[in-house]
Amino acid sequence: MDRKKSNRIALTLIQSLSVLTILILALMLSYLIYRGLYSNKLIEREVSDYVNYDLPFEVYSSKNSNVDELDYFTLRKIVQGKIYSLRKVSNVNRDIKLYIDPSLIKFLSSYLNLEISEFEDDNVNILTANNLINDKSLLKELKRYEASIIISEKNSNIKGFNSVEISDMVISVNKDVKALYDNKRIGNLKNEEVESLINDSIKNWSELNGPNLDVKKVDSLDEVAKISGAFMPIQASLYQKAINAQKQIQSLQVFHEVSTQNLKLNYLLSESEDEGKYGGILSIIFNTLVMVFLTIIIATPISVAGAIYLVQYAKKGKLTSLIKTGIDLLAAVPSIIFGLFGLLIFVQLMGLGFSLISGVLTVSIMILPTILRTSEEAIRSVSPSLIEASRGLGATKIETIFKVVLPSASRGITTGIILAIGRALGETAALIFTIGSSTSFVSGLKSSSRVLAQHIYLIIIEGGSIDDAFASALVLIILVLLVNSITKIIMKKEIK
Amino acid sequence: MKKNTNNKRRRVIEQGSKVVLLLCALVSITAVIAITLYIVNQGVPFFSEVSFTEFMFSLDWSPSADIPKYGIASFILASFEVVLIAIILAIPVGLSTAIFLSEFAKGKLSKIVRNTIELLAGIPSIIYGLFGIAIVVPAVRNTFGGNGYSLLSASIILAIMILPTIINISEVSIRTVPDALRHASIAMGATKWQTIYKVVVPAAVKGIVTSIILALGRAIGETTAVLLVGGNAAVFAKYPTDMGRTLTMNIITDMSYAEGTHLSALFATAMLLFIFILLLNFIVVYISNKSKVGAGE
Repeated sequence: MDRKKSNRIALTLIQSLSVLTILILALMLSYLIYRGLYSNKLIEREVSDYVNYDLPFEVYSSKNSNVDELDYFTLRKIVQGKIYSLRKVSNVNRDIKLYIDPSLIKFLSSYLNLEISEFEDDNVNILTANNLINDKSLLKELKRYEASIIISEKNSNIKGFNSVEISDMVISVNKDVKALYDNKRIGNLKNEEVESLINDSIKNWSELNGPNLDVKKVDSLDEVAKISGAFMPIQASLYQKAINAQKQIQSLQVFHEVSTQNLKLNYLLSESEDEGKYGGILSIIFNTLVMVFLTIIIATPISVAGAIYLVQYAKKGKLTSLIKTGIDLLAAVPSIIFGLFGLLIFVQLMGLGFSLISGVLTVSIMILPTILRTSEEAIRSVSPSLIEASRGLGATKIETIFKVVLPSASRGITTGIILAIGRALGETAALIFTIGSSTSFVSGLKSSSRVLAQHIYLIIIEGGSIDDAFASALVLIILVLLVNSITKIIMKKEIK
Repeated sequence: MKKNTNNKRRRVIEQGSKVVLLLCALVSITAVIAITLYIVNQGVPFFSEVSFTEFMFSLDWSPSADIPKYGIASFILASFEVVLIAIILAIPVGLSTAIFLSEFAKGKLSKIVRNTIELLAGIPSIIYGLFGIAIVVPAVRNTFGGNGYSLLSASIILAIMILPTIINISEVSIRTVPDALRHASIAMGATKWQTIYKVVVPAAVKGIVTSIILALGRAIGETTAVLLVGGNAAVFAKYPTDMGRTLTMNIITDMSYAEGTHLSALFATAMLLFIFILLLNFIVVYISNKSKVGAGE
């Protein structure tokens, strides 16, 4: 009985540990796909989007601007010209083209607390919404441009643009709420905390890590300034007017959760900018494919020829075992060593510099064993009777190889090539010191370039946007999975 | 007469192509020799400036200091530590999966497991690194404190990366254990688990050890994935949860700006790494030769 029990326990353990590998992979893939498709960021702001006040204007942005929400203070800075590029707003490296309906100038100058003269700045293009709708060519241009922002009258119905939500609720508090107490200070509020504050379910500021003061909701800014512990949700515009005169009022910072689509078609289809910090990855995908293609072109003939030699010509002896040891060792060399070798031989000694060809040659050597081993197996499994028949008909050995052996081993060889493609696609360490890092399209064998895996590495090392890293990683994973499933299809056919 | 020249031509082609094929077959071994020679050529001059003992046993790596120090002991230790923990984490899961696939390989589950392993083997190391940053590092931070970028995080990522190596090679060797052994064991009244534990695994132990050594080789040479999660601090890591730097991390980090003695120190580091890998491979060759002799007897 005991034996049976321990048997069952052991077998269950084995089974569950093997299921663990599935779980690990599932976790990895699903997380990477999720992060590739969506980005969730917490941004610290002065306004909350808990309540949005009704405004007599509407804001639109171009589809590729990644802007579908702006806070009052950012909008103000954009109109002022203090923010002139979307770089910091939505990671789009384009100067903003701002269009404002002239009928809104008066309202906007009071709403944003700006002098009317500030609207006459160069960066603001003032145009009526009506004109904009009629001016088809301008509208087209704005639609195509990645950083256009249009402020137009309500219900102006501009099509083909993002509608931008403006959040402008500030939680104004008496100065003592934000003061330092016992080494503690009120932190940034989360959305739920804003909600419970406004719904009166928070009684004391200490519940929000603040001072030991009672929470008092009041109805005017004067009261906020006078009463200790007082707060009031207020439109940012009014708050902006008041703080210039009232030093007793401050605002609470709020965490704003931005969840946006991460990997967009636009990211795939536009060229990289500013050393890969902004823009898309079209050029990098292109370079990756070129690199892999050239690598395969170079490595395949050599490894297939090597495999033919090993199967058809090699006799047992020192030379053959030397060749086999060479292949085993080459397969075991870590990619960083290949990188160093490439740096010494191709980049420096042969004077090829940090270039596509240096990278290609390095990776070609690296993937030799992969193709060679699979091809060797495939060639070995060609039935001897086929070969004998060909020889019997008077064909020479080499004719037999080209006309009989290779065609019947072609599926196995293809599998080897595809496995090698997978390996070349994901290679990083061997390329960092050989291929260069330029993000533009490769123009020749000697031009420096950057491939996907290396791009992900460089983004992280150089402290770039982690969202971009995940988006690029998703593209890389898709390519790898594609290669993987092609291999499987071929292998399945081979079995049949 | 015409036939004769034709035959001659064919023989020349035959001989010529044989030579070409041989040359192609020799590319791999030539590359290995060239890699060895160049790395040694760049690394050896280093020891005329810094003593071998200082290089191997000093914990002080400060190549940019006024009096530069080139001790890589802490990196050697970190490499071993990372690889050892990775292996310890990977063996139970890897071996169980291998046993599962070879002994119970029926039904949908084993098919899914097999596909999973194929996928895991195909995922590029940079992606493992990215996954490490996003999931493993925060998990280690929350569990053990510190900032999460640590040798332990690197070990966890490596453990996942070497799973396919362990599973594939162990599975093959478990599968080649003759069924007669299993039947005999079961017939003697042993349970399935007793058969696996006392008969099948001992019979396949050489293949299992080979798989572990090959996995060690892969782990010790891994660069990008460990670099992203290991913290890369050029100091001795007292605990696995401290930030640390392995041999490969040292090479890749300093390579971009190193000059003179510093550069040759990096090649010396690469030389050492290469020696470790060669050693591991010779052990594998030794084991497989021995098992062939055993089978022949």
